[in-house]
Amino acid sequence: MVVADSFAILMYLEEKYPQHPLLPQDLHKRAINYQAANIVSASIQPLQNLVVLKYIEEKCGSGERLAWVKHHIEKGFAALEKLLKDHAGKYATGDEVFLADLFLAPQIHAALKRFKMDMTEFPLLLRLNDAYNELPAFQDAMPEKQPDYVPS
Amino acid sequence: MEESKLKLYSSWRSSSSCRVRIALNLKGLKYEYKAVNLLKGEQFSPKFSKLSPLNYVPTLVDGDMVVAESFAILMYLEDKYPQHPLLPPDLKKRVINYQAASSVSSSIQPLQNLVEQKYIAEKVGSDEKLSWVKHHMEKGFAALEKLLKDHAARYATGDEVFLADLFLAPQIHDALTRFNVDMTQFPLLLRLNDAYNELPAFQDAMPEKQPDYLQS
Repeated sequence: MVVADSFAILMYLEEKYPQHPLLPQDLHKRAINYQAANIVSASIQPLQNLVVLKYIEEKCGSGERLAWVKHHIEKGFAALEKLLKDHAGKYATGDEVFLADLFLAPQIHAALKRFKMDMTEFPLLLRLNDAYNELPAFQDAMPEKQPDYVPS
Repeated sequence: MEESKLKLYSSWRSSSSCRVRIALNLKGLKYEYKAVNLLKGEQFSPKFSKLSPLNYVPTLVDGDMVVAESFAILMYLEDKYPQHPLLPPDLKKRVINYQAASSVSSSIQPLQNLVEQKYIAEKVGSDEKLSWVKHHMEKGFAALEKLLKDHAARYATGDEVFLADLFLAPQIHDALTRFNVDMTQFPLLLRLNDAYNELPAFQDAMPEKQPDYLQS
């Protein structure tokens, strides 16, 4: 079995290996998880990939590249703050880690480390980031811990 | 007459709204169509902003449940209204459906918004943006042709309509009508498009059939 695409991989893993479910039972909370995941994967991440950034840099100059990324991340983060404010507990949608957290953690990490963003406008996301920093499952997955990591 | 408790905030042009419209039709769910005029910026109205945090259409209201983001809405509908399942029972086929859906919603459709981006409008002419978006759309379609070639039959992943078809139909429709993509380069997708054109659930969901067609 070969699966490409992070979302499809996650859904495959969820169905094949049901231990530590990535989705809650409650329909409402499931919907919040899917929404948060898609805000990252359809509205933020596609606009910060290298192909798009190269294009922006070519056409608008390298100064615009960072401004472009920050603009889109901030829009997405503002939406996430609104979406999650009535649902977050210790983690994004309650006191257990679910799908939303898997999408948020790498995105917040990128915002802070790659794009050096000021996240103080996004206190909920910042608090979640602190929570993720306590979890070995998340920490071991971060870029700096990977075999192919190259400091930039 | 009983008021349908399902309301869909939608714009005729929005391909992500189209995906949800198809699903509602397939599942036989009646809904109230609430037009959101994107050109007039109605998605930013205080009332709508309360409902949909990203100010995007589609947004579905089902009683006291509010769901935005087309994928989240489709998964909600699938859980709540299991008639005409949107996912096949076989795990391999399910995964192909998720991949195709994700490919459209993360790699192809977001680029269309680039064309409307006023953010870079002054620096990049609209013809140039259009051709760049078209180029990447075509790359996405080429990848989909490869993904589906061993799985497609009458529809994208077999002889029944599933999730992948809901994402493909609006995207191919846009490619043909808005971006002038030469779809003959993508024979499988073109054939699927012909199949979708035979289905009322799909046809009734298309932009031209919506109450707000050309009004925004």
